[in-house]
Amino acid sequence: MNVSVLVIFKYTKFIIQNVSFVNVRLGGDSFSIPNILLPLGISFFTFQGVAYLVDIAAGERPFIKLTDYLLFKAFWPQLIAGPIIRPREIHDQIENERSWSNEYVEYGLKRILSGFFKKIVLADNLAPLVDAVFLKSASPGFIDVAAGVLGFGLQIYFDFSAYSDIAIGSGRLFGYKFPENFNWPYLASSPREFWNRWHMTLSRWIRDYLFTPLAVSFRGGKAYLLLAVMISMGICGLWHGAAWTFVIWGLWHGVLLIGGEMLFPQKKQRRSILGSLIRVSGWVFTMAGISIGWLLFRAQSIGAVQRIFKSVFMAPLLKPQLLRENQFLLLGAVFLFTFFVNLLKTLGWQAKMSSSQLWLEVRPLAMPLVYAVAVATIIIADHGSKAFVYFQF
Amino acid sequence: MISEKLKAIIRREFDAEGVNLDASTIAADVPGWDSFSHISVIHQVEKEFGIRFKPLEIISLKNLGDLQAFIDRHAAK
Repeated sequence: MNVSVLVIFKYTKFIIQNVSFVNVRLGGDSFSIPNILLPLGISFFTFQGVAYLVDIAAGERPFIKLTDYLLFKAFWPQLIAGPIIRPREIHDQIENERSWSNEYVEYGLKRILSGFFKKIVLADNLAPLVDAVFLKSASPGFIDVAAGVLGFGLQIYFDFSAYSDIAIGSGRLFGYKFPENFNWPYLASSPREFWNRWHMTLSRWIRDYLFTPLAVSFRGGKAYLLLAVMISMGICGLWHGAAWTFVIWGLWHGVLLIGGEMLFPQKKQRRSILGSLIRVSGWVFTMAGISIGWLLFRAQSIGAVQRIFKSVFMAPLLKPQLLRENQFLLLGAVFLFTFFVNLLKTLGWQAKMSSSQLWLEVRPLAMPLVYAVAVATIIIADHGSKAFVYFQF
Repeated sequence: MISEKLKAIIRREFDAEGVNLDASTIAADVPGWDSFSHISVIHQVEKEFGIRFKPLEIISLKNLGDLQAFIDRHAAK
């Protein structure tokens, strides 16, 4: 029932298009395609509804009061784009009384501020550059496409993790703790690690409700395990959008997951030089694979991917055809910012900072300044904000 | 109590020498226990105890205690 609503609203057009395509090939007429408006957040609340039904069937406690259930199903901070919550994570929180806590308000506001900064200052400013490269009438060169794909990878991360920050922060203001949705995804040194760090509440949904039951019931050795991966990732792709590019994107990630396991099997933490080398090459493999994935994800149609490839081979290799110097400068600045923050994270900067005497003395002055600058930048950078990318799913 | 037979399966699958295996142990406590090796553990349990899991039963497993309880309920029959 849950899924059928999603199928009707989201996939009717896609299914009719494909049936119609086949029918035309067979000599029939094409069908008319109804225009169905997609309810906001349907993919997210459907999956959360499925999680509820399955968990209750598997022995979890149901909600007693209808209002409690409705709050679980449609709590506004995470209704539209997650995190996708499992009933057991929020059941007690909904039924028990919550009280005002300064700590929660401080934490919530910080997360919301961080979300607005990522969305309005970083993601929205990268959008025009990415849009220019993927425009239907554009003929980008190699450098443009490389910049567009890199830019989109950063844009979608800042966009989506911003929404999660704002959702988690807003939930916290009301005393709720939501599960995290992102954990430094671009530090992943294998595709498997990437999915453990990217859109984590969707990954575990796919893992727990799709992959595991499927793989266990196949009972047929390695080949069937790989089949279960491909089916799960194909559906994961289709969940993102009713188009073949999304299915291929999902399958591509299935291939990456399998390839990553074969090339960089996860053994115990290697602390040797060889271990670091393997991790670095795993990271390069993962980032390259993910970037190719983002090209498919953003291109919107198979025709668009073909057009981009054609245009890349027609144009001179290293001469930008579309983008201007200032756009490269902007992309470079956001990239370097992301790179250094990630580098500091890898070097364990946070742990060192919080134990340093100097930081303890500077902190009361530095943090208000950081917040003030963040607020000011958000206000200056806000030229009519764009909708979140994930609202369309 | 986690049976020695189940512990042996887990120790064979993972390098879990120092890890305490009791009823409250979850996958995240055992290094290397991820979605792939989870399938392998389940299949070995099925084989060694002569039982079969249904999809819903897999989803209901939260920790080693649940897995042991399931084995106890079904292996005896």
